[in-house]
Amino acid sequence: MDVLTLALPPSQRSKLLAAGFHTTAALVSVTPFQLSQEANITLEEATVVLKLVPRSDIDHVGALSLSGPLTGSTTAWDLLIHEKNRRKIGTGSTEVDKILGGGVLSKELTEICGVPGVGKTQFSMQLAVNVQIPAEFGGVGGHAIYIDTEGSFMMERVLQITEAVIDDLRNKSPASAEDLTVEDFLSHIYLLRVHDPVEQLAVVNTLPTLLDEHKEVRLVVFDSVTFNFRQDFEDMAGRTRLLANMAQKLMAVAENYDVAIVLVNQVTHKVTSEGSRTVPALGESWSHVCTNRLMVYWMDGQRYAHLAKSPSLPVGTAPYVITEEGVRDAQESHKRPKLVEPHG
Amino acid sequence: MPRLDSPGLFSLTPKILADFAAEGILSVEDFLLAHNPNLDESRTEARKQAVVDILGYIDRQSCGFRTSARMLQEIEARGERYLPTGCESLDKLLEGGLREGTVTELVGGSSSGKTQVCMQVAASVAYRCRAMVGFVDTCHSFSATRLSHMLGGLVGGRDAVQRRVGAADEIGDAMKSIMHYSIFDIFPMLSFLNQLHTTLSVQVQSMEEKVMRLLIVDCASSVISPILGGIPGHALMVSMGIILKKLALENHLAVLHATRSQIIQLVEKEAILSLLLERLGKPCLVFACFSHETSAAIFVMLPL
Repeated sequence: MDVLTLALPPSQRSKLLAAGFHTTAALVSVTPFQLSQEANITLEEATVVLKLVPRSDIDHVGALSLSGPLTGSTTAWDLLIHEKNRRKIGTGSTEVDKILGGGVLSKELTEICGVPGVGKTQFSMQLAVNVQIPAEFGGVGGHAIYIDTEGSFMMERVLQITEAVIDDLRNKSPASAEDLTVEDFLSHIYLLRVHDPVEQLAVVNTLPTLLDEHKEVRLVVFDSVTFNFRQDFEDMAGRTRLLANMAQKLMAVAENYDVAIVLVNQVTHKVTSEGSRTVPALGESWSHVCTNRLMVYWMDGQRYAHLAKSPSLPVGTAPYVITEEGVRDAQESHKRPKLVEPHG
Repeated sequence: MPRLDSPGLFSLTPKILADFAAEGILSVEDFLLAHNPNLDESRTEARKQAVVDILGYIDRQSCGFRTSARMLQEIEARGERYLPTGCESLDKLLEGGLREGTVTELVGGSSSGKTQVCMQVAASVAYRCRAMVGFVDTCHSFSATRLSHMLGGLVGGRDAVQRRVGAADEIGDAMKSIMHYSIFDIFPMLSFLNQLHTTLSVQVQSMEEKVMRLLIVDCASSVISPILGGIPGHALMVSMGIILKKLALENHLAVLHATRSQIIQLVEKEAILSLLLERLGKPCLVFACFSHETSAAIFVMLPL
């Protein structure tokens, strides 16, 4: 394997190449002292370089197991058991929960996209409150990180939503809900305000540190992930690369810290020969990033949520309303989710 | 190409090595570039012996020439099989299925069915061929629940699972032989693929243990697109292509990797990624697209 494939800074890499170390095979049998002498790097740097060199771990001659040396593997069977026990974060509307397979799932990236004013921020705020519903009530009982890029987080609204959620829980079971207070709920939503693309990328990079400090966080909401990337980018290819980088980091965070990540996306118009269509913003490449995509739209004066992409669930649509209490089921409830194409 | 001191050739004494180093020759590659046979006559005996030894070492490393007939014999001796994809029409398109020793690329736009095909192929090979399958997931789209449904379908449907004793065990067995790896970055990916190559090369086959026959990478472009743009980016992509080919050829795996396509200006231009990977000589390129009008996924095989 080429030395190029090791994650090294370019200056170190060029020093290794100049010293004649072109392949990792050449590095396997070299001591750190030898390497530092020949390649003209410090002893610490040489030790770091040699740690990166992959070596085959052979327990004893002839016997090797594939899952042992290759770290990070799980069988599909273990994943199935884990998936069955996963807790879901309810959205507030049972119909929308149904099409999502029970709610927003952890370790997955869920994207909510729609036109302005359809209720994306309302959904995000509702989820940030609902994630805190204790396990006795079927919830996840975790904290939330809310990353606000548009300035649309309204404290008064979150207060309203929280009061309504606590009232609902008290009606269900007064005894268990006695200790729940509005102050608790509000203090467990960690709010981050982001003003430009650099800050947004910095936040994504420091999410692991943040999650290490606050281990009870089970939801990260990005409202919205698009806003900072829609203007001031002359180089579209560069923008795509930055977004792809951000996406991969978010996926790694979701996987390693067992959190649900909700990304709010805007829509844009795509002009084709047949006319113009409303499509999610940030382009085709961003469509691949999310695990689940929920498109919310208006039709005939009613709000609908449409599950457009999911690895394990069929496509479905469900109506919902936004009331004083938050996101709730529509009054003229459809018994089953309808299969309706989104109105453009 | 290794450094001159690695092969352990006796005639390469420290003095000779220092001489070479003074001329800027540190590795075998440098030697081949700088060596001038006409100057050999004027060198010392020790130096001439060193040159002869190095050239002999290079000869031993290369495979030498082989005739086509011999290569054909080797291919037949290896007995590379076709692995069923689980979908008959797809098998027919591929004229048998995914062939061991080859790399197949599955290209498609968003929501065209790439991950579903990958999961279906994994289920089919794990169940029908009783083989181990490696599933490298770079975009969080693997769903074990969905995979179990697919296996249920292969076993004979939900009723068959309830009626037939042992059907649930068969599904469990198949699921236990699908190894799932979550990798989100290019360097861990390269390191993993190399480790897999080393592990499989050294592994001694025992009769009871299952052998890995299929490696699925879903999707290769998500680790490459963040870095494609700088100089090391392209080289890293090529390195990844090389190691995938090595895994297919030397370890007799069928490698299936999914790539995203980006439709530029609604014409036949495919993603730059898939075109560049294509240059590494894939035998087969399957293009998937989702038609909203007919709500069906269409697979097109492009001749190469």
